[in-house]
Amino acid sequence: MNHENVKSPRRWLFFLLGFSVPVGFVLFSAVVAPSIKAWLARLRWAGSAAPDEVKVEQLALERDRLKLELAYLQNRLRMSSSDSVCLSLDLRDSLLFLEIKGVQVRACSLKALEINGSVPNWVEWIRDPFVLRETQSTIRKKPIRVVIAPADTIEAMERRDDDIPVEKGLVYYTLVFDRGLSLTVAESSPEGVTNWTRKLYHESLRGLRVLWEQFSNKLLGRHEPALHVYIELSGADAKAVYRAIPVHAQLTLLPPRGVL
Amino acid sequence: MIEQDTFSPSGDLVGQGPSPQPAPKPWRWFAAGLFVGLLACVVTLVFARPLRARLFSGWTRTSVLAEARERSDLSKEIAQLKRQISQVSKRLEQKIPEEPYIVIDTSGNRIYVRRGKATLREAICSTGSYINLKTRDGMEWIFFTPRGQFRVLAKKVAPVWVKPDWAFVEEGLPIPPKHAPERYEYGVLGEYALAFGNGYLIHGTLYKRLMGMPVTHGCVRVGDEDLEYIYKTVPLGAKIYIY
Repeated sequence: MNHENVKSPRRWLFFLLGFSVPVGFVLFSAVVAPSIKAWLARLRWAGSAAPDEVKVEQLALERDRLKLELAYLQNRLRMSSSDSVCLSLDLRDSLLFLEIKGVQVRACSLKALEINGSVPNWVEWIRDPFVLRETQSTIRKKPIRVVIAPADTIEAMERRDDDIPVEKGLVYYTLVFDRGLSLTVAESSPEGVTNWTRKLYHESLRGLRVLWEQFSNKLLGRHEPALHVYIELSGADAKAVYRAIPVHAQLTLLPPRGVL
Repeated sequence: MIEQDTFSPSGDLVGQGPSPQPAPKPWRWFAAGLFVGLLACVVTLVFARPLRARLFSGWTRTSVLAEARERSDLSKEIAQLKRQISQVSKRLEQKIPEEPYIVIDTSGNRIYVRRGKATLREAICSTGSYINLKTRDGMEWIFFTPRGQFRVLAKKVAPVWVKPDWAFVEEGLPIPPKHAPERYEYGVLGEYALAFGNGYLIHGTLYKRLMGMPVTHGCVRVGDEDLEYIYKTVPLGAKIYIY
């Protein structure tokens, strides 16, 4: 009897010791170790890392935003080696620039902006400048007028008072670039009822075209990146841009905020 | 034979008789505890989901380590991207001439004198008419202002216009020989002229009422005051951007 009383606490001690090994391991690895690791991590990356309150997702977003900006600037730099007039479209700040050799010679503010389509990977898509492939326009690229030389001085004198033609038509054109980008430019406030009507007509056609493309893409399961950008500029800007760019003009694009 | 019990000096029975139970070995109790502990852990983790989630929320905190590393990597990448952006921006900034330069808008018939990003002067001008002049004997010219980047190649005071063939064709006159005296006209190009290649000039005009309209044969006509300003501000070799 005496023997039982002495041995019992020792047994329980060993039992508790055995019990505490797995339970202690679990508790340690679940609660204490991570805290120590976190504390060490903070010590290690203190200063170099962003503050704790900035989430990784936010940083990743910032990185992608910067990647887009870098691609845009690098494209501008690449285009500056060309002798031609180039376009840079900054959808972030709603600006369209005409550039020659890297110098922004004209800045046009966008009066309206509409974007349709989808681009799965923006960074990849805008990596290189876009190249103009096709143009549809309501105005002529070069307003050439053919004049037959006068036969003599009398005829020349008679012609002196000829009026210089003034272009009054609607400025509305679509620039189709490679890699699925199309840019439609319209003048924001066309003069006269005729021009308004023409604008409405072109608008309707454009809307139908976009709808049809979306529908056919869904039907055929196409997933190529395609972006239709519609912008409105002042009449002078719209005309200047169209007349300035060459046949195979290059364009670089900075996507708007919130695409990532 | 009679068994004889032996007694210890204290009188306790020793050696003989039924032997006492051996004391249980402590490792058995330890093993039992270990087993029960493991069982408890397994049962807890398998069946008590909320408890498991609560207990192992600590494990997700190990991702703090990974998160800190990722945050650090991202921060480094962001810093590098910012450096690259700054470098590319600087290179682009260097493309803008430091000295005054000229920008000509042929569509709006406007001329700008700029330094850096600042516009020093803006004025109306006249640029190419896009007239395609054809003669009955097959000669033709298109009068347009070229686009792109050019330089001021020469600056002249009181320039003399050496009339090209088309000037005579336009007036219905016969084309004189190359260095004929009637080819030289004085005072029609204004006080100053800046040449930018292939016979193209920025010059003055007598036809002030046509300023701001596309009426020239490719040259850029500017009003007298603006021309003087351009001549005095823009140095030889300065860049001219025409779009």
